[in-house]
Amino acid sequence: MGEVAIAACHVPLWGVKNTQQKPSKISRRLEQSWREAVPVRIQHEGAPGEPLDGIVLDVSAEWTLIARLRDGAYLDGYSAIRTADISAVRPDDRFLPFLKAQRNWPPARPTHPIDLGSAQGVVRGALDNAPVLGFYRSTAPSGGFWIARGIAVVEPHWWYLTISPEGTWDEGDERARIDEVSRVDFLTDYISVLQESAGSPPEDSVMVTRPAGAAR
Amino acid sequence: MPLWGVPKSSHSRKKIARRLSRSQTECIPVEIVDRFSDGETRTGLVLALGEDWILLQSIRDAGFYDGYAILRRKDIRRVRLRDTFVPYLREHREWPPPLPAGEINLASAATILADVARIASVFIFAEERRRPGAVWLGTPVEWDARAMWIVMINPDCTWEDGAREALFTNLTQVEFGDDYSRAVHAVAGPMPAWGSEPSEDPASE
Repeated sequence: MGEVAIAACHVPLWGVKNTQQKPSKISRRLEQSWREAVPVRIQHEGAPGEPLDGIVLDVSAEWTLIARLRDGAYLDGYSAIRTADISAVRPDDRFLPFLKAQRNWPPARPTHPIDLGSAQGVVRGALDNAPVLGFYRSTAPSGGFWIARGIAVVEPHWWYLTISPEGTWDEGDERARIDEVSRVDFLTDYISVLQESAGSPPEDSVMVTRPAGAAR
Repeated sequence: MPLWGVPKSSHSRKKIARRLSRSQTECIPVEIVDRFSDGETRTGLVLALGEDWILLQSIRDAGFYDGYAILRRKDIRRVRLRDTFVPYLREHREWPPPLPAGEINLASAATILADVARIASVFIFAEERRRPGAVWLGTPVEWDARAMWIVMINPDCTWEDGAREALFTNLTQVEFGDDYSRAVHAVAGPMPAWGSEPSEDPASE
Protein backbone atom coordinates (compact mmCIF):
# COMPACT_ATOMS: atom_id res chain seq x y z
CA MET A 1 0.00 0.00 0.00
CA GLY A 2 1.06 3.56 -0.47
CA GLU A 3 2.79 2.51 -3.65
CA VAL A 4 1.66 4.14 -6.81
CA ALA A 5 2.09 1.36 -9.31
CA ILE A 6 4.52 1.87 -12.12
CA ALA A 7 1.99 0.56 -14.62
CA ALA A 8 0.18 3.85 -14.97
CA CYS A 9 3.25 6.04 -15.10
CA HIS A 10 3.95 8.48 -17.89
CA VAL A 11 7.63 8.22 -18.63
CA PRO A 12 9.18 11.27 -20.25
CA LEU A 13 9.68 10.98 -23.99
CA TRP A 14 13.36 10.20 -23.70
CA GLY A 15 12.80 7.10 -21.65
CA VAL A 16 12.59 4.79 -24.64
CA LYS A 17 15.08 2.06 -25.37
CA ASN A 18 17.79 2.81 -27.85
CA THR A 19 17.72 -0.18 -30.15
CA GLN A 20 18.71 -0.67 -33.74
CA GLN A 21 15.86 -1.88 -35.90
CA LYS A 22 16.28 -3.60 -39.24
CA PRO A 23 16.39 -1.19 -42.19
CA SER A 24 13.38 -2.93 -43.71
CA LYS A 25 11.33 -2.32 -40.58
CA ILE A 26 12.45 1.30 -40.42
CA SER A 27 11.50 2.01 -44.00
CA ARG A 28 8.18 0.19 -43.67
CA ARG A 29 7.23 2.27 -40.64
CA LEU A 30 8.40 5.54 -42.17
CA GLU A 31 6.32 4.80 -45.20
CA GLN A 32 3.29 3.92 -43.11
CA SER A 33 3.61 7.20 -41.25
CA TRP A 34 3.86 9.06 -44.54
CA ARG A 35 0.91 7.26 -46.17
CA GLU A 36 -1.49 7.22 -43.26
CA ALA A 37 -0.31 10.24 -41.24
CA VAL A 38 0.52 8.02 -38.27
CA PRO A 39 2.59 9.77 -35.60
CA VAL A 40 5.90 8.04 -34.95
CA ARG A 41 8.73 8.33 -32.49
CA ILE A 42 12.03 8.32 -34.32
CA GLN A 43 15.31 7.42 -32.67
CA HIS A 44 18.24 8.79 -34.61
CA GLU A 45 21.98 9.08 -34.28
CA GLY A 46 21.96 12.81 -34.81
CA ALA A 47 20.86 13.27 -31.22
CA PRO A 48 20.89 9.90 -29.43
CA GLY A 49 18.58 9.66 -26.46
CA GLU A 50 16.45 12.49 -27.75
CA PRO A 51 13.92 10.98 -30.10
CA LEU A 52 11.83 13.04 -32.48
CA ASP A 53 8.07 12.75 -32.50
CA GLY A 54 6.29 13.56 -35.68
CA ILE A 55 4.58 12.57 -38.88
CA VAL A 56 6.66 11.65 -41.89
CA LEU A 57 5.94 14.02 -44.78
CA ASP A 58 8.47 12.74 -47.28
CA VAL A 59 11.26 10.15 -47.41
CA SER A 60 14.21 9.67 -49.69
CA ALA A 61 17.15 7.33 -49.32
CA GLU A 62 19.15 10.33 -48.08
CA TRP A 63 16.83 12.53 -46.02
CA THR A 64 13.48 12.29 -44.23
CA LEU A 65 11.18 15.25 -43.64
CA ILE A 66 9.05 15.22 -40.50
CA ALA A 67 6.23 17.42 -39.27
CA ARG A 68 7.27 17.70 -35.63
CA LEU A 69 5.08 17.02 -32.63
CA ARG A 70 5.76 18.30 -29.15
CA ASP A 71 4.27 16.53 -26.15
CA GLY A 72 3.17 13.95 -28.71
CA ALA A 73 0.11 15.99 -29.50
CA TYR A 74 0.89 19.46 -30.90
CA LEU A 75 2.37 20.28 -34.31
CA ASP A 76 5.58 22.23 -33.95
CA GLY A 77 7.40 22.99 -37.16
CA TYR A 78 9.56 20.67 -39.21
CA SER A 79 12.73 18.63 -38.99
CA ALA A 80 14.76 17.04 -41.75
CA ILE A 81 17.08 14.24 -40.66
CA ARG A 82 19.40 11.89 -42.50
CA THR A 83 17.55 8.70 -43.28
CA ALA A 84 20.66 6.62 -42.56
CA ASP A 85 20.83 8.10 -39.04
CA ILE A 86 17.47 6.63 -38.11
CA SER A 87 17.92 3.66 -35.78
CA ALA A 88 14.34 2.96 -34.76
CA VAL A 89 10.79 4.02 -35.60
CA ARG A 90 7.80 3.32 -33.39
CA PRO A 91 4.22 4.18 -34.26
CA ASP A 92 2.48 6.17 -31.55
CA ASP A 93 -1.17 6.77 -32.32
CA ARG A 94 -2.24 7.69 -28.76
CA PHE A 95 -2.94 11.29 -29.62
CA LEU A 96 -4.44 10.77 -33.07
CA PRO A 97 -8.00 11.59 -31.91
CA PHE A 98 -6.72 14.81 -30.37
CA LEU A 99 -4.62 15.71 -33.41
CA LYS A 100 -7.46 15.01 -35.81
CA ALA A 101 -9.66 17.43 -33.92
CA GLN A 102 -7.22 20.29 -34.53
CA ARG A 103 -7.65 22.77 -37.35
CA ASN A 104 -4.12 22.23 -38.61
CA TRP A 105 -4.58 18.49 -39.18
CA PRO A 106 -3.28 16.77 -41.24
CA PRO A 107 0.07 18.55 -41.14
CA ALA A 108 0.77 20.58 -44.25
CA ARG A 109 3.95 20.24 -46.21
CA PRO A 110 6.22 23.26 -46.08
CA THR A 111 5.07 25.97 -48.50
CA HIS A 112 8.16 25.61 -50.68
CA PRO A 113 9.19 22.12 -51.75
CA ILE A 114 12.35 20.61 -50.29
CA ASP A 115 14.74 18.48 -52.28
CA LEU A 116 15.57 15.59 -49.96
CA GLY A 117 18.31 14.26 -52.23
CA SER A 118 21.18 15.97 -50.44
CA ALA A 119 22.14 18.22 -47.53
CA GLN A 120 22.40 21.05 -50.04
CA GLY A 121 18.84 20.52 -51.17
CA VAL A 122 17.59 20.32 -47.59
CA VAL A 123 19.37 23.47 -46.40
CA ARG A 124 18.34 25.45 -49.48
CA GLY A 125 14.77 24.20 -49.27
CA ALA A 126 14.50 24.93 -45.55
CA LEU A 127 15.85 28.45 -46.15
CA ASP A 128 13.22 28.95 -48.85
CA ASN A 129 10.63 28.33 -46.15
CA ALA A 130 12.21 30.12 -43.23
CA PRO A 131 15.15 32.53 -43.00
CA VAL A 132 16.26 31.13 -39.65
CA LEU A 133 17.06 27.45 -39.14
CA GLY A 134 18.13 25.24 -36.28
CA PHE A 135 20.74 22.69 -37.23
CA TYR A 136 23.11 20.02 -35.98
CA ARG A 137 26.51 19.34 -37.49
CA SER A 138 27.84 15.81 -37.66
CA THR A 139 31.39 17.00 -36.98
CA ALA A 140 30.47 18.80 -33.78
CA PRO A 141 30.42 17.01 -30.44
CA SER A 142 26.95 15.65 -29.77
CA GLY A 143 24.58 18.23 -28.44
CA GLY A 144 25.94 20.90 -30.75
CA PHE A 145 22.86 22.72 -31.98
CA TRP A 146 22.84 26.13 -33.61
CA ILE A 147 20.15 28.55 -34.61
CA ALA A 148 21.17 30.72 -37.48
CA ARG A 149 20.08 32.80 -40.40
CA GLY A 150 21.35 31.54 -43.74
CA ILE A 151 23.38 34.16 -45.57
CA ALA A 152 24.71 32.41 -48.64
CA VAL A 153 24.91 28.94 -50.09
CA VAL A 154 27.86 28.47 -52.39
CA GLU A 155 28.50 24.79 -52.61
CA PRO A 156 30.14 23.02 -50.99
CA HIS A 157 29.82 25.64 -48.24
CA TRP A 158 27.23 27.85 -46.68
CA TRP A 159 27.49 31.00 -44.63
CA TYR A 160 25.28 31.76 -41.69
CA LEU A 161 24.91 34.16 -38.80
CA THR A 162 24.07 32.54 -35.49
CA ILE A 163 21.65 33.68 -32.81
CA SER A 164 23.01 33.16 -29.30
CA PRO A 165 21.00 31.38 -26.60
CA GLU A 166 20.50 34.90 -25.23
CA GLY A 167 18.41 35.73 -28.28
CA THR A 168 20.91 38.13 -29.86
CA TRP A 169 22.76 38.06 -33.16
CA ASP A 170 26.33 36.86 -32.80
CA GLU A 171 29.05 38.88 -34.42
CA GLY A 172 30.44 37.77 -37.74
CA ASP A 173 29.13 35.09 -40.04
CA GLU A 174 30.47 31.57 -40.13
CA ARG A 175 31.23 29.24 -42.95
CA ALA A 176 30.77 25.47 -42.85
CA ARG A 177 30.58 22.58 -45.27
CA ILE A 178 26.98 22.08 -46.08
CA ASP A 179 27.24 18.29 -46.13
CA GLU A 180 28.20 18.38 -42.44
CA VAL A 181 24.64 19.34 -41.60
CA SER A 182 22.99 16.29 -40.04
CA ARG A 183 19.63 17.72 -39.07
CA VAL A 184 17.70 20.86 -39.89
CA ASP A 185 14.77 22.28 -37.87
CA PHE A 186 12.59 25.13 -39.03
CA LEU A 187 9.40 26.94 -38.09
CA THR A 188 9.42 25.50 -34.56
CA ASP A 189 8.16 27.47 -31.57
CA TYR A 190 11.62 27.72 -30.03
CA ILE A 191 13.21 29.06 -33.19
CA SER A 192 10.40 31.57 -33.61
CA VAL A 193 11.00 32.98 -30.11
CA LEU A 194 14.74 33.30 -30.67
CA GLN A 195 14.29 34.84 -34.09
CA GLU A 196 11.74 37.34 -32.83
CA SER A 197 13.89 38.22 -29.82
CA ALA A 198 16.95 38.79 -31.97
CA GLY A 199 15.03 41.19 -34.21
CA SER A 200 16.17 42.28 -37.65
CA PRO A 201 19.47 40.79 -38.67
CA PRO A 202 22.44 43.06 -39.30
CA GLU A 203 22.08 44.63 -42.72
CA ASP A 204 24.95 42.86 -44.42
CA SER A 205 23.54 39.40 -43.74
CA VAL A 206 21.06 39.19 -46.57
CA MET A 207 20.38 35.73 -47.92
CA VAL A 208 21.97 35.11 -51.29
CA THR A 209 21.82 31.73 -52.95
CA ARG A 210 23.52 30.90 -56.15
CA PRO A 211 24.59 27.67 -57.75
CA ALA A 212 28.19 26.54 -57.46
CA GLY A 213 30.49 28.47 -59.75
CA ALA A 214 27.93 31.09 -60.70
CA ALA A 215 29.16 34.65 -60.93
CA ARG A 216 27.78 37.15 -58.53
CA MET B 1 18.71 21.73 -26.91
CA PRO B 2 20.14 24.33 -24.53
CA LEU B 3 23.90 24.30 -24.24
CA TRP B 4 23.88 26.36 -21.07
CA GLY B 5 22.34 23.87 -18.65
CA VAL B 6 25.53 22.08 -17.62
CA PRO B 7 25.11 20.61 -14.12
CA LYS B 8 27.26 22.23 -11.48
CA SER B 9 27.41 22.24 -7.71
CA SER B 10 24.35 23.28 -5.74
CA HIS B 11 23.62 26.86 -4.85
CA SER B 12 23.35 27.73 -1.17
CA ARG B 13 19.87 27.70 0.35
CA LYS B 14 20.22 31.44 0.87
CA LYS B 15 21.01 32.14 -2.75
CA ILE B 16 18.18 29.92 -3.91
CA ALA B 17 15.73 31.70 -1.60
CA ARG B 18 16.92 35.14 -2.74
CA ARG B 19 16.59 34.33 -6.41
CA LEU B 20 13.19 32.68 -6.09
CA SER B 21 11.99 35.72 -4.25
CA ARG B 22 13.36 38.09 -6.91
CA SER B 23 11.67 36.02 -9.59
CA GLN B 24 8.36 36.60 -7.86
CA THR B 25 8.73 40.24 -6.90
CA GLU B 26 10.52 41.47 -10.02
CA CYS B 27 8.91 39.13 -12.57
CA ILE B 28 12.13 37.57 -13.78
CA PRO B 29 11.93 34.03 -15.15
CA VAL B 30 14.19 31.43 -13.55
CA GLU B 31 15.86 28.27 -14.72
CA ILE B 32 15.65 25.66 -12.03
CA VAL B 33 17.68 22.49 -11.67
CA ASP B 34 16.38 20.07 -9.08
CA ARG B 35 18.12 17.09 -7.63
CA PHE B 36 16.17 14.62 -9.73
CA SER B 37 16.43 16.23 -13.12
CA ASP B 38 19.92 15.14 -14.11
CA GLY B 39 21.00 18.66 -14.94
CA GLU B 40 18.00 19.38 -17.13
CA THR B 41 16.50 22.76 -16.43
CA ARG B 42 12.90 23.80 -15.95
CA THR B 43 12.00 27.36 -16.88
CA GLY B 44 9.29 29.32 -15.16
CA LEU B 45 8.27 32.37 -13.26
CA VAL B 46 7.69 32.19 -9.51
CA LEU B 47 4.09 33.14 -8.75
CA ALA B 48 3.96 32.16 -5.09
CA LEU B 49 6.45 31.12 -2.44
CA GLY B 50 5.52 28.93 0.48
CA GLU B 51 7.79 27.76 3.22
CA ASP B 52 8.28 24.35 1.65
CA TRP B 53 6.75 24.66 -1.83
CA ILE B 54 6.75 27.10 -4.73
CA LEU B 55 4.26 27.77 -7.49
CA LEU B 56 5.66 28.42 -10.95
CA GLN B 57 4.21 29.53 -14.24
CA SER B 58 5.87 26.99 -16.53
CA ILE B 59 7.48 28.39 -19.65
CA ARG B 60 8.38 26.17 -22.60
CA ASP B 61 10.49 26.94 -25.65
CA ALA B 62 11.65 30.21 -24.09
CA GLY B 63 8.43 32.09 -24.79
CA PHE B 64 5.26 30.04 -24.33
CA TYR B 65 3.27 29.45 -21.15
CA ASP B 66 2.59 25.81 -20.42
CA GLY B 67 0.54 25.49 -17.28
CA TYR B 68 1.68 25.59 -13.68
CA ALA B 69 4.17 23.62 -11.64
CA ILE B 70 4.49 23.21 -7.88
CA LEU B 71 7.91 22.15 -6.65
CA ARG B 72 9.39 21.25 -3.31
CA ARG B 73 11.92 23.86 -2.22
CA LYS B 74 14.24 21.34 -0.65
CA ASP B 75 14.68 19.54 -3.98
CA ILE B 76 15.85 22.68 -5.78
CA ARG B 77 19.60 22.69 -6.31
CA ARG B 78 20.23 25.63 -8.58
CA VAL B 79 18.31 28.72 -9.63
CA ARG B 80 19.35 31.11 -12.35
CA LEU B 81 17.53 34.36 -13.01
CA ARG B 82 17.15 34.88 -16.72
CA ASP B 83 15.42 37.94 -18.11
CA THR B 84 16.50 37.27 -21.71
CA PHE B 85 13.03 36.63 -23.06
CA VAL B 86 11.06 39.03 -20.89
CA PRO B 87 10.73 41.55 -23.76
CA TYR B 88 9.33 38.77 -25.94
CA LEU B 89 6.89 37.67 -23.23
CA ARG B 90 5.78 41.25 -22.60
CA GLU B 91 5.05 41.76 -26.23
CA HIS B 92 3.42 38.45 -27.06
CA ARG B 93 1.83 37.12 -23.88
CA GLU B 94 -0.16 38.32 -20.94
CA TRP B 95 2.44 39.87 -18.65
CA PRO B 96 2.82 39.25 -15.87
CA PRO B 97 1.27 35.82 -16.44
CA PRO B 98 -2.17 35.18 -14.95
CA LEU B 99 -2.49 33.35 -11.67
CA PRO B 100 -4.23 29.96 -11.60
CA ALA B 101 -8.02 30.01 -11.61
CA GLY B 102 -8.17 29.52 -7.85
CA GLU B 103 -6.01 30.04 -4.83
CA ILE B 104 -3.50 27.34 -3.91
CA ASN B 105 -2.47 26.93 -0.30
CA LEU B 106 1.19 25.95 -0.42
CA ALA B 107 1.30 24.94 3.24
CA SER B 108 1.53 21.21 2.66
CA ALA B 109 1.18 18.47 0.06
CA ALA B 110 -2.34 17.86 1.34
CA THR B 111 -3.50 21.47 0.96
CA ILE B 112 -1.81 21.76 -2.44
CA LEU B 113 -3.45 18.65 -3.84
CA ALA B 114 -6.84 19.60 -2.45
CA ASP B 115 -6.66 23.05 -4.06
CA VAL B 116 -5.26 21.81 -7.35
CA ALA B 117 -8.02 19.22 -7.52
CA ARG B 118 -10.56 22.06 -7.26
CA ILE B 119 -8.96 24.02 -10.10
CA ALA B 120 -7.91 21.31 -12.54
CA SER B 121 -9.89 18.29 -13.66
CA VAL B 122 -6.67 16.30 -13.98
CA PHE B 123 -3.16 16.93 -12.75
CA ILE B 124 0.30 15.46 -13.04
CA PHE B 125 2.24 14.44 -9.99
CA ALA B 126 5.61 12.91 -9.27
CA GLU B 127 7.16 10.93 -6.44
CA GLU B 128 10.73 11.38 -7.52
CA ARG B 129 12.41 10.08 -4.40
CA ARG B 130 10.74 6.76 -5.12
CA ARG B 131 10.53 6.89 -8.90
CA PRO B 132 12.84 9.40 -10.49
CA GLY B 133 11.77 10.35 -13.98
CA ALA B 134 8.21 9.02 -13.72
CA VAL B 135 5.04 11.05 -13.50
CA TRP B 136 1.40 10.12 -13.09
CA LEU B 137 -1.69 11.82 -14.31
CA GLY B 138 -5.10 11.57 -12.80
CA THR B 139 -7.90 12.95 -10.74
CA PRO B 140 -8.50 12.37 -7.02
CA VAL B 141 -11.68 10.72 -5.80
CA GLU B 142 -11.12 10.36 -2.09
CA TRP B 143 -8.69 11.51 0.53
CA ASP B 144 -7.90 11.32 4.19
CA ALA B 145 -5.24 12.87 6.42
CA ARG B 146 -2.31 11.06 4.87
CA ALA B 147 -3.20 10.02 1.35
CA MET B 148 -5.28 10.58 -1.69
CA TRP B 149 -6.91 8.00 -3.93
CA ILE B 150 -6.41 8.94 -7.52
CA VAL B 151 -7.95 7.50 -10.65
CA MET B 152 -5.14 7.48 -13.20
CA ILE B 153 -5.06 7.99 -16.90
CA ASN B 154 -2.68 5.48 -18.43
CA PRO B 155 0.03 6.54 -20.87
CA ASP B 156 -2.20 5.16 -23.65
CA CYS B 157 -4.77 7.81 -22.70
CA THR B 158 -7.34 5.44 -21.16
CA TRP B 159 -8.72 5.71 -17.65
CA GLU B 160 -7.52 3.02 -15.32
CA ASP B 161 -9.99 0.88 -13.43
CA GLY B 162 -10.08 1.77 -9.76
CA ALA B 163 -8.12 4.29 -7.79
CA ARG B 164 -4.59 4.14 -6.45
CA GLU B 165 -3.38 5.44 -3.16
CA ALA B 166 -0.81 8.23 -3.25
CA LEU B 167 0.73 9.21 0.08
CA PHE B 168 1.15 12.94 0.63
CA THR B 169 4.57 12.33 2.10
CA ASN B 170 5.84 10.93 -1.20
CA LEU B 171 4.79 13.90 -3.29
CA THR B 172 7.58 15.94 -4.89
CA GLN B 173 5.94 17.75 -7.81
CA VAL B 174 2.56 18.73 -9.20
CA GLU B 175 1.72 20.16 -12.60
CA PHE B 176 -1.59 21.22 -14.07
CA GLY B 177 -3.04 23.22 -16.92
CA ASP B 178 -0.17 22.11 -19.18
CA ASP B 179 -0.45 21.05 -22.79
CA TYR B 180 0.47 17.42 -22.18
CA SER B 181 -2.18 16.74 -19.59
CA ARG B 182 -4.72 18.67 -21.65
CA ALA B 183 -4.09 16.36 -24.63
CA VAL B 184 -4.12 13.18 -22.52
CA HIS B 185 -7.35 14.23 -20.83
CA ALA B 186 -8.96 15.17 -24.14
CA VAL B 187 -8.25 11.72 -25.56
CA ALA B 188 -9.25 9.87 -22.37
CA GLY B 189 -12.51 11.78 -22.08
CA PRO B 190 -14.38 12.34 -18.82
CA MET B 191 -13.62 10.03 -15.95
CA PRO B 192 -15.93 7.01 -15.83
CA ALA B 193 -18.54 7.19 -13.10
CA TRP B 194 -16.99 6.62 -9.71
CA GLY B 195 -19.09 4.83 -7.10
CA SER B 196 -19.64 6.55 -3.79
CA GLU B 197 -19.13 3.32 -1.82
CA PRO B 198 -15.78 3.19 -0.07
CA SER B 199 -13.28 1.18 -2.04
CA GLU B 200 -11.94 -1.75 -0.04
CA ASP B 201 -8.57 -2.24 -1.64
CA PRO B 202 -8.47 -0.30 -4.88
CA ALA B 203 -4.71 -0.35 -5.29
CA SER B 204 -4.34 -4.11 -5.19
CA GLU B 205 -3.20 -5.65 -8.40
